[in-house]
Amino acid sequence: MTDLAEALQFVYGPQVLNGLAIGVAVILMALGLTIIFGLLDVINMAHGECYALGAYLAVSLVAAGVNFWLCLLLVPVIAAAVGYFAERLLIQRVFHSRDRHVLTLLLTFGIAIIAEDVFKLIYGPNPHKVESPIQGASELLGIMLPNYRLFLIGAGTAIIVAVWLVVYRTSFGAMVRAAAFDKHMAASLGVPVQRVCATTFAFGVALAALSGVLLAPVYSVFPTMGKDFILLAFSVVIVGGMGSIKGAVLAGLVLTQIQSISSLYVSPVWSDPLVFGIMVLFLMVRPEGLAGRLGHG
Amino acid sequence: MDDLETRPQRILAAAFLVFALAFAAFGAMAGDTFFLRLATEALILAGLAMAVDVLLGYTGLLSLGHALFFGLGAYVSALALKHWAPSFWGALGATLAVATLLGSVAGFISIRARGVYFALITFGLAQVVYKAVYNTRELGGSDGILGIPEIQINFGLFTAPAASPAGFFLVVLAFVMLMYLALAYLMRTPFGRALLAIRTNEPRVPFLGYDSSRAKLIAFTETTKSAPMTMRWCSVHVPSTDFRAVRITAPSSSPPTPRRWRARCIRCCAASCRPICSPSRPRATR
Repeated sequence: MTDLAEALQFVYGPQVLNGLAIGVAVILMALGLTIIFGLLDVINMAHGECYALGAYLAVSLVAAGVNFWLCLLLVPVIAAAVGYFAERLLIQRVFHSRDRHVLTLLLTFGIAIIAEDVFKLIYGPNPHKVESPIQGASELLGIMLPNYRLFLIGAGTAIIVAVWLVVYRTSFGAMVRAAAFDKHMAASLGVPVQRVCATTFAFGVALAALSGVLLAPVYSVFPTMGKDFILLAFSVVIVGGMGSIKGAVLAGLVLTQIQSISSLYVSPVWSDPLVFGIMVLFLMVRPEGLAGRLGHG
Repeated sequence: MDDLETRPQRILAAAFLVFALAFAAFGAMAGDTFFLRLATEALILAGLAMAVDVLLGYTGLLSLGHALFFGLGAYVSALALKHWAPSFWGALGATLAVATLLGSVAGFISIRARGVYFALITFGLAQVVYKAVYNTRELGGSDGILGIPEIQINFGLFTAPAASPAGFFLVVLAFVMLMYLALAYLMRTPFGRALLAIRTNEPRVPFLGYDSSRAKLIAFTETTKSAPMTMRWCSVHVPSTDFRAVRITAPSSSPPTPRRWRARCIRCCAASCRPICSPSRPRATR
């Protein structure tokens, strides 16, 4: 009996809580992806680079002497501006063509490749580190956990709730859902669809950048960090259902738990292929994912 | 209207061949290494682009994972050369066998998905294999594979040393031109027409009596085969091999004239780039 209690306290407990901390960040990424897909029907392959953008902006701002907490506010605003103009200047150009899916995918893929190299040019290929603003560790249910991770779980949950409130309880959210359901009808009812699209894209980019800032003190910041992370976010979005907020949260929690628990038994190297295997299974068996699309109930 | 490959395109291809031969002659005379190697690389990438073009340009399937097979070819041939036998044809055979096997598995998985999901699955597959190789010490991990022997390519009548820039350029040129001819022929067969039909209007293809997912699977497998074919250079040429993503987009072609053919006749031919089909080649009349 004590063996089980000890295993829970020293092996599974920390693993579950660490998985939760990563899961919250992944959900933030996946929410951005899924909202962008639900409304614009665009798969943002550059989403991982938006996440990296957030982390690098945090590195620069902290190096310039800006407080980390101020960064948490500033970076999403800067990233949102970048996202808004990227949508307006680039994505809108190919958005109305017949091969929209392929073109936007290639476009964002190209942006991702360019962004990765730009990061490499500016910051060099070596990892950077942002000093954690909350030091120390505290005990929770007999489990020692770094304070910053506890903060990560709390803040992430608050942001997820805020996103849900914005999408389902504000007039902007109502416009987003209406436009996702039927663009032409929404436009004829007076929704400024183009502006809503650009703002939503900016919103998604800001979410990715925010999770970049939040994770910067936990992981190191390096040019390919986005690509390593994006596959997990894509798996979450696909398992949860493209364009579904509920599904993204659910799948994000489940997949990161699977990842962190499985790494106790197999080499952590294989946790990515495992999660991807689940994604492939979902695509083969239930392509619509766990929950329905944005605007469809 | 029978030919998708138009007359100007043929003239361009011939002009390109002449230019490339002249370039090789000048390069060999001047004793150049850098530009010949660069041109060799460009040719190899052109081979990959042709493979991707069959999928994206003709069939309308966006595969973000073809770099996987590109790297696969390099790794398999590097391992074959190093541990098995330093023979060009042996490495080529091994690469083709492994690529066919993994290409059909990857195709079987990804063909089930449509549109963006297909692109995502192929992207994910490539990323996962990349990670797996990167983390496997036996495959060299992040260092890649070092110490691949330099070989002589035996053509029966003569041998070409892979270490000589001009000689290897000519070998690659020959392979790429052969691949071009094979693919141009493939697109004229009923199978090629079916691929074009899939790009234009996939839901309609089964109604016309063709098996669209089967054709897509074959196209996918065939292109995965042609990708590593051009990629032997890595092992033959460069001392180290490591997985690097190469993404190439391809131009699209003019709308097709779908013709009736029997899907049953398609056979996957393991060794070459074209399936054996077409009991009678249909003549398009317009």
